[in-house]
Amino acid sequence: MEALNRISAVALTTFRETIRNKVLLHLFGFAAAMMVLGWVVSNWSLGEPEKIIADIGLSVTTLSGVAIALFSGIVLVWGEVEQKTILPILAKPLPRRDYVVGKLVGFGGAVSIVYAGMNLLLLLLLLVFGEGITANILFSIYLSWWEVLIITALALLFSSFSSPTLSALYTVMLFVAGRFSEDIRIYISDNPLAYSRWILESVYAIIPHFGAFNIRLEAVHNLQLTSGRLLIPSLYGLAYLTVIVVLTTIVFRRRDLA
Amino acid sequence: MNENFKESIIVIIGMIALVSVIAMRHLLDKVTTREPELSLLYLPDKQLIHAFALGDDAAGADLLWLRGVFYIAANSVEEKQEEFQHNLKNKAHPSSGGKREVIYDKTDFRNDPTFQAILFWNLNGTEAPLLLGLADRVTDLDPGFVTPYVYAATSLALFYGRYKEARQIIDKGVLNCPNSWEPLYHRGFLRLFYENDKVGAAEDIRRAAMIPGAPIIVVQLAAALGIGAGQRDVALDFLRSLREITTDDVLKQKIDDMLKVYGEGTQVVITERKTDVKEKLNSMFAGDSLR
Amino acid sequence: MPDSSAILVDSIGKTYYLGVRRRPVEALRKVSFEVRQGEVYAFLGLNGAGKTTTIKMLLDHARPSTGRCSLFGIDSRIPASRTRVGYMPDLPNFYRFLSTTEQLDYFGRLHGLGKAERLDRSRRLIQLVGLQGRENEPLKGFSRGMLQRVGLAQALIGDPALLILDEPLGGLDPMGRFEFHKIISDLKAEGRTIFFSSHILEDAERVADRVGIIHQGTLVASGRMAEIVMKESGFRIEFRRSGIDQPFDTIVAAKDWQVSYDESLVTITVPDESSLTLALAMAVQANLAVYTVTPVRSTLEQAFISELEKWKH
Repeated sequence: MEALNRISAVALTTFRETIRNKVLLHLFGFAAAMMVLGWVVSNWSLGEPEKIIADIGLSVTTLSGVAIALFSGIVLVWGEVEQKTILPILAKPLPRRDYVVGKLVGFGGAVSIVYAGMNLLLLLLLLVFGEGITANILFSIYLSWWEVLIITALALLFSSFSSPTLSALYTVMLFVAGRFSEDIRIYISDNPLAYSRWILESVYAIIPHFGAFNIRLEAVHNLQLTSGRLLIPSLYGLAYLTVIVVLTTIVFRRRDLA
Repeated sequence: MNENFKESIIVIIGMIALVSVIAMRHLLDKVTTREPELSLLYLPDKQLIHAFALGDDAAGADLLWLRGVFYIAANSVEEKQEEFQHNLKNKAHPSSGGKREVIYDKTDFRNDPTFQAILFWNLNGTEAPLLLGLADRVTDLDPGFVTPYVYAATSLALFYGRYKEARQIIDKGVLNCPNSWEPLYHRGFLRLFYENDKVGAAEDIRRAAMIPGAPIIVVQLAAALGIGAGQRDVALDFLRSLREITTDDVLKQKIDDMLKVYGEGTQVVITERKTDVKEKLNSMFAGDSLR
Repeated sequence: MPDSSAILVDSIGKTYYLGVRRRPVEALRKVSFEVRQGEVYAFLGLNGAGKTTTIKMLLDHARPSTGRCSLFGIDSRIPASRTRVGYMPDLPNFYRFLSTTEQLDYFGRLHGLGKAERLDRSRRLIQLVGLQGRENEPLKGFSRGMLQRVGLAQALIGDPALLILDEPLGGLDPMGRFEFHKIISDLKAEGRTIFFSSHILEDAERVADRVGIIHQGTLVASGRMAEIVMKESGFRIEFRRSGIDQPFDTIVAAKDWQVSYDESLVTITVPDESSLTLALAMAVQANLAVYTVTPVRSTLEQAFISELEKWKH
């Protein structure tokens, strides 16, 4: 119970501090501009403009969510150590793991709010200029949210021991690798050489499978989705997040706040 | 030289520079505008788009398609309207050098020189070879994207006379978009106009009419084909339906021109047969439910 | 471990590994000391001596490479050891977009305080540190001195029995320093233990009961203020001159004591009590009249520099 109180205290404070930072507002504005641009160019497609709005809109909201998580997350813990705002906090009877979990919940909450805001704008565009809102569109937004959360957690992990530049590099690398996870899988099955297959399989096991969270095609063409298609990636997302949080806790526990 | 004077000089220089920047933009536009052929010279393959779009194939397909459409618009058919009008007036096939020529069997409606002028008229544009490739790439990335199939097939056939390529891409569309009436409709059009395959055309239009969302004019066209109207009349019906369906203004204009010349004095088949249509539709679609 | 210890540091050492080649740098070498409950302990040293590093060990901001430390008998690596501890860092910094009220509420929650209690304490502490009227402004507009006040307030929010203050007076103007001294005295009067680090010796002299001097990672002196200062003292003996200076001169020269002459007096400075006893015995033997015997107190500064000099050699 006490742990929950402490975690929620850290989470609430992190949320407030993140939301009040105007950087998020600027990133949101940029994403909104991209979506409006998507609507403008959709009229030039000679057909199915609503598909273009949906495609580009869903893509923009996901990428913007990832960008927001990345740019804000890589300085989250590192910044607190550098500016020494973390010192009075960890001088309280607060276990470092509570601090880490609280940070993820608070920061993840702030990113989720901004992500939701961008998607509300997209849904409005779809209602007015597109083919309306289907369940599949909402499911796509939901699954992409897991992708954004995982990037949030990864940025936080790297921020807990690395400088912003390196954190950005590692997070972007994992993001790109994760987006190509399907291709890696195909490459593994095609690759006859044993030693490289082993390396690739290890890589494939570790990287986040962002392809699993991508149902934008199904959303736009309103194809049928099974409940498993939604449930299994959600469970995977939850498991992956747990792994990252545990890793962050272990890494941060031993870190000297020099 | 005192400080104020130096500052004034700097401000003046700055203003001159600003005016030059504004004045030079037209000059810049002139020297930097690329020849249309150069801007889509390289059609990126599926893997590259997949990589650039970070796995978001649908969005990558959209962006490639939009890029391609800009390219084709730059080399627009509009530029060749004058030539087209001339051929239409003379009812001549361009390759015949302005002379009338019998190409097909007398029973074949395509023998009509107007149709010939329209159907087999070639635009001498460099964009034509790219159109199939573009549509193919885009639809590889997003097989459900209907517009590239339809636009490519129509343009390749009607503007460039490249029927085989048109047929290639529309067949792919029929296969990949079973829930869309458009690829079937356009294939029916191509089959009738370019292959004189009335049976095949009727079958495609019938299937198109059965798909939810098909406009009523497609249903009426299916009926007209089923009724066994005269080829010329059917062809006219087809053209009218295509004019209503397409969003391409250039194509609309072309069809208007064709109808003006070709449709003079002809009965409007669909409106005439209104009362018969319902009965014939029911008998035609007996066993299937019209949605 | 003695029940009365607020802080117990037992042979802690800390080695950092710097650079690509991981060159070892010893920041602390076998530092041991104790801070008893209820006292004010001044931890003194030059910049970079290891004061802040020692504090980091106490608060588990970093782990010692060797040795252990404990707070109120609980190993400092355990978060519960800080339940009764309040800490104010050197040049404190806080979240820029939160107000003082929000910060205190946050820190209060981390101490497990209920809402009513947090509100009450925050109000009193804001009053104590002189931030009334500005408690709802975001901290990004605050000056260094004001942040220091917020720092003290958050250190006190948990009603700590032990206060650990890292350079608490740095960056304060004279008025601020005066107020701070008063607050420390009040806190001491309340029975709290105060451990503070500083390089301003004058401040330590004013409030500290006990002193520790750290230099280049080693604790070179530790003990009661009087003892430390007395170490560098001695005695000044004034004798009436009787014209019989020669034998005395020889003795003084041999003992390497300081001597000065004026018209009527000979003044000798001896370093310690045993020398005093010897000098007095010699004076009696030589039939010299002792005029005055005065203990000479050096300042803490002198003692400090002297310890550092000793350590160098």
